[in-house]
Amino acid sequence: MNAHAARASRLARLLRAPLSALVRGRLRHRWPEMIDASDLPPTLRELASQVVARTRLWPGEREDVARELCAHFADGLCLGRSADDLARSFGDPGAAARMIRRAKRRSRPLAWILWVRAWQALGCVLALLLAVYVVLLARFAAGEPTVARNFTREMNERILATRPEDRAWPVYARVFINLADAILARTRDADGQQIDLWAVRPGQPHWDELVRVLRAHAADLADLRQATRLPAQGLALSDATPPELHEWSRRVAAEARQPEPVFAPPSDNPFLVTVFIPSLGHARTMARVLCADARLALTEGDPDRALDNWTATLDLSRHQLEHPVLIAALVSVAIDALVFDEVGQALADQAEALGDAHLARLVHRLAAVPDMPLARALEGERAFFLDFLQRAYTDDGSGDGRLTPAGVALMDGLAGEGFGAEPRAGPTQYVAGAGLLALDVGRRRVRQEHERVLDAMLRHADTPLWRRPPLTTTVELERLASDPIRSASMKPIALLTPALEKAAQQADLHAAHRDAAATAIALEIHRRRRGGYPATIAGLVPDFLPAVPIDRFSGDPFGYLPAGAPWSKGKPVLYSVGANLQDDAGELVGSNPRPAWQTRETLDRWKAVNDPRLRDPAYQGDWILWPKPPEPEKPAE
Amino acid sequence: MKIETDLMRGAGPAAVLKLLERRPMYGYELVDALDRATQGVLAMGQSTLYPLLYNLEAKGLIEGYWRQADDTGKERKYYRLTPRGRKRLAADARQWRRLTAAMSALGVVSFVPGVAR
Repeated sequence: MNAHAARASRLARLLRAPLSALVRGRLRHRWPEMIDASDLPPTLRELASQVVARTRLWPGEREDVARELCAHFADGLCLGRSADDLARSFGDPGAAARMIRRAKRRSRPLAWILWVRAWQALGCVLALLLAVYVVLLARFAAGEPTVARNFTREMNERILATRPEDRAWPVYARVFINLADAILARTRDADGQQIDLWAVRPGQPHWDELVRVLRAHAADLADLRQATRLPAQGLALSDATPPELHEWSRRVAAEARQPEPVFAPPSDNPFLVTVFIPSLGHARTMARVLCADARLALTEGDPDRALDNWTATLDLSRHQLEHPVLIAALVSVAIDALVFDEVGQALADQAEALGDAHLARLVHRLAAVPDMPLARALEGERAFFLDFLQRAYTDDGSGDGRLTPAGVALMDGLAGEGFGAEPRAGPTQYVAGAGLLALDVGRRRVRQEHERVLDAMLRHADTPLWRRPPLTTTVELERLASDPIRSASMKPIALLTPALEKAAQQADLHAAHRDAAATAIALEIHRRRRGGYPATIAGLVPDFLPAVPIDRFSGDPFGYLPAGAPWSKGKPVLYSVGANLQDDAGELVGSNPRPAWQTRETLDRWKAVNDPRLRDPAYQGDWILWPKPPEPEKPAE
Repeated sequence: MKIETDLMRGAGPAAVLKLLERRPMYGYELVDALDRATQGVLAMGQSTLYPLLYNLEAKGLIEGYWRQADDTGKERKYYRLTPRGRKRLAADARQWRRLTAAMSALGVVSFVPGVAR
C-alpha cells in the first residue's frame, strides 16, 4: 500500500470511529502495549521502552517511534545478530531519545511550531521584564531619603523671634478655656433643635441667654480685645497640642464621653502635613463671640465697644495670617466676612447708633483690610511640597533623586491611608514601588512641574475675575489624576496642590464683601452730610470713597438702586450682577446665595444648550451685597 | 577510523540521501549499507541514524511509508527520496566535489576514487 492509500485508509477509519474511541485513542498511550506485544527479547523491549518514554513526544509520535524501533530490532535479529549485540550497538538511549524528540518536533504542524515560538518569545519578554523589575526593585528598596531641612522650624522662625510679651496666643487660649462652658453648651430651641447661640440677634429667641453669657465674660472679652492689639499671635506650628489647650481637649473628650487624650510631646522635625494650627478654629469661635458682643454693645448704646469689637475681630483675623498657609488665609477671610456682615447689618438696622466719628474710624479700618494674601499663602504650600520631596525621594546632591519606599508610604498616607511618625512601606508598596520607579520622572522634574502649576495658578488668580480664563491647570490636574501612567509619577502634585482656583474666587468674594461694607458706610455718611443718597455710585467719589467700587464679576461699577427695593426699608441697594453676568436690576432670587463663578465662555456654552446647571440659584438673579435681604419665607407644611 | 562529529554531521545526510537515490531502504538496511559501503568510515549507531532520518523527513527530503516486508512478512518503515531530496543531493554532491578538489589542490588529499584512507 503506498503512502497516499495508507493516509486515505486512516482517514476512512477516523471518520467511521466513534468519538469515545477517538478520545481514548488520542489520550491513551498505546506504545507500551505495542512494544510488549512484539516478539522482541526482554532486553530489546526494555531498550525500546526506555527510548520511547524518554522522547516525551505526543502519543501518536511515540507510537511511530516504538513501531519503528521494534521493526528495526526485529530486522537485526532476523539477520542473526544477538539481542545484546543489538542493544550495545544501539547507542546511548538518553541521547537517542533527545535527538529523536528534536527531530520529530520539527515535523509537527506549522501552527504548533508558531504556538511554541510565540510562548518562547513571551517567555523571553517576561524574563526580560522580570529581570528589569528585579533591578528596579533592588534600586527602589535601596533608596533612602535624606531629611536635610526642618521646614517647621523655618516657618516658625519669625514667630519664635517674637517677644513673649508681644504674643497674643496665651490670652486667646485662656479666654477660650474660660468660655468653654458657653462654647460647649448645647442650647436647644423648643423643638429640641440645637441653635447657634453666637448668631442670635436682638429680639430673637435666646437673646437674653446670650446677653447673660456675654456679660458674665465681660472681663475675658476685654482681655481678648486687648490681646488682639499685640503685634503677633505667636503660636508656633507643631504636631502636638499646645499645652494651653490641654484642658480644652480634656473637656471636649469628657463631653463626648471619649477616653482622656494622651498628649505626645512635639516632634523635632515633623512632616509639615502633620502639623496643625489649633488657633484657626478657636479664632473663628472667638470672632463670633466678639461680633455677638458688638451687637450687645449697640443695643446698650455703647458704639465705642461695638467698634472695638469689630476692630479686634479684624485684628484677630490678621493674627491668623502669621502662618503662611492657605487654610489660614481662608479662615482669615471668613472672620473678615463676619465683620462685614455685622457692619452691614448695623448700618441697615441701627445706623443712628453709630456717630460720625465711628463711621469715619470704621471706614478707615475697613480700607486697611488687605486682599486675601494668596501669594504668601502659597509659601506654605511650597514648603509642604518641598518637605514631602525630601522625605519621599533620595537626594543626589544636585536637586534630583528617585522615589523611595518611604515616599510611596507617604503618598498612600496622603491619599487617605494615614501614616505614623515613620512611614514604612509594606510588601505591596514595595511591589508597586518598583513599578512606580520605572515611571518615576525624578525629584527635580516633579518639583519643577509643581512650581509650574503653582505659578500658573497664581498668575490666574492675579487676573481680575471678570477677565479670568478657565484654569487649565485644574483641568490638567484632573487629567493627571485619571491617567494611570502619568499619575504614578506626578501623583504628589495631584495630592499636594491646593485648590487655588476656589481660593482665588474666595479672594474675589472677600474683596467684594469688603468694598460693599465700605460703600455702605460711605452711603450713610453721604446721607448725613448731603441729606440723601447719591443718584449714582460715582457720586461717592472722591469725597466719600477713593474710587468707584468694582463688581468683581463684570468689571463694571457695583449695581446701585438709590431708591432701594421693597424689602430694603428705604435703604439703597448695592448688588453684583452675579455669576450669570446679567444685570437684573437687583433682582433677589431665593436666599441670595453667593454666586458660583464660571468663565463667560462656559456660561455662553451653557446658555446655548440650556444647561440645567443654570437653574441653580447661584446662577440666577443678582447677588445683593447690602443691605442683607430678608430670609425667604418657608413654605407652610 | 573514527571521523570527527562535525565532519559526520555534514557527511551523514548526504550519504543517506545517496543511498536512497538508488532505491527505498529501511532503517536497519541503511545502517548496514553505510557501514559496508564506506568500510566503516560512516558507520553510525542506530541511535544516530533514526534522528537523522526524522530530520530529513521533517525537511521533506525523504518520506517514510510502511509496507510489508517481502522476506519476513512483517511491517517495516521504508524511506525513499523525494524530488526535493534529489535536488538537495545534487547540490550536496556539487559541494563535495568542489571541496574535495580544493583539498586535493592543497595537497590535503590525493583523490583516489573508490578508496577511503
